[in-house]
Amino acid sequence: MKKGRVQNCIKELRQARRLSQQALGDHVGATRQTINAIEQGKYAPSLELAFRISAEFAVPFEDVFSFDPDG
Amino acid sequence: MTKTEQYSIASLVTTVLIFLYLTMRLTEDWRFVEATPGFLLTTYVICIVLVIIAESIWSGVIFSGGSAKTDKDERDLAIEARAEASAGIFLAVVINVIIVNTLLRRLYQSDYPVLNEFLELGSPTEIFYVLFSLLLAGHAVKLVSTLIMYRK
Repeated sequence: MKKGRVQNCIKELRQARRLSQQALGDHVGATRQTINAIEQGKYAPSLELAFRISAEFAVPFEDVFSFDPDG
Repeated sequence: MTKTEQYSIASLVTTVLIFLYLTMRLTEDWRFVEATPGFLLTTYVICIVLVIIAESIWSGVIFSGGSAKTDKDERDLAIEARAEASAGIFLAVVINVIIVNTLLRRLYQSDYPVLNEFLELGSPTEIFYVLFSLLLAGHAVKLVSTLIMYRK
């Protein structure tokens, strides 16, 4: 079975709201480095953090995160 | 660089320095000295005290300051858990190698003189040095794993 890949558009949403990685991290309880790793696709966040992030942007979960099974 | 990475580097330097101190104290011309139990106990206490002092200083300096609201998050904890698992696997492998080495030496030493080239835990100094070094090595593996996983 392929591992797959969680993709996201956090960077675009964050930049549209003129939020820094540090500010977003502070709001959702993560470090700047973790936000950076998530944006780059190096780290797949837990469900809890993913929901926090989508709630922070006030958009539906599936508008922020998607899953690519072949990635 | 995260605070955990800074702490890992500082702790790694401390670990190497403690290992060098241990080696300096227990060897002479790269051979083990015949140390008394009192000397070994003193060395052990000194090493433990040095480790506690150094780790307290690093923790205080690195984790006390800063304006960020979050020092450690779920990624830090996940990396820490994986690094601890790496250290555990390393220690299990090395301890098994030592066990096999000790048994093979006793069983086949006379038949295969080449076994004399390997590690012999024949004196309290050697046992103390190897076991304490193993603790330090396990800690070092954890720290190096942590640093690698942050960079991946």
